[in-house]
Amino acid sequence: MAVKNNIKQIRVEKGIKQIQMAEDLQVTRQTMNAIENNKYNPSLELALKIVRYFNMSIDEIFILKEEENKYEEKR
Amino acid sequence: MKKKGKFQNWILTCGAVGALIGMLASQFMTGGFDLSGLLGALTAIIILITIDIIRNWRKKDSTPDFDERTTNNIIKFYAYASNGFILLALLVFSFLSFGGFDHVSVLSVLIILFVYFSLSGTTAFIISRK
Repeated sequence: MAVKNNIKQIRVEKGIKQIQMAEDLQVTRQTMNAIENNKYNPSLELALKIVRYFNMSIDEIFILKEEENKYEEKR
Repeated sequence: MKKKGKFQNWILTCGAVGALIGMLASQFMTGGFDLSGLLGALTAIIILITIDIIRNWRKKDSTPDFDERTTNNIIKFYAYASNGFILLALLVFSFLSFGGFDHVSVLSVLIILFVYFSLSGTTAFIISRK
């Protein structure tokens, strides 16, 4: 999967429980777990909700791994 | 963030009460009162309310039952299951017609449809919980 995220690290740093975050974002605990383990890419709407929830920029949370390398090769 | 509505936890109960009101209204409008139909509907309502009570009693958090991932999973499952069912039915009926069967009873088709809906419904429920 090309898109990775730092949600788990950020959440742990901020001392937020997974179930609390799932409740606040109105998603199931399983979905929160799948997102944190990079098994599911959230929709743009949910991704923006996560960005607003952490009050951080989108590239601090989500990383486009493969595309980054491609662009670097072209340069 | 947007929290769940008050009635969202009692969606089955609300649906069941709505269906009962609709059924009673239609019976009064047409003029024919059917006691057996009413008793059947009441049984279904009691079952649905019991399911809601048990579900709400067991649920400790306020996370939703469905979200974008589970909805996508169910849509994907139904896309495969319905097409697979049509393909299977086509193959079965083709073999039957080539085998010399000119008629298929409506009852057997109804049984096949019932099995399909039961199986796909149960599988979709399991998928929604994963």
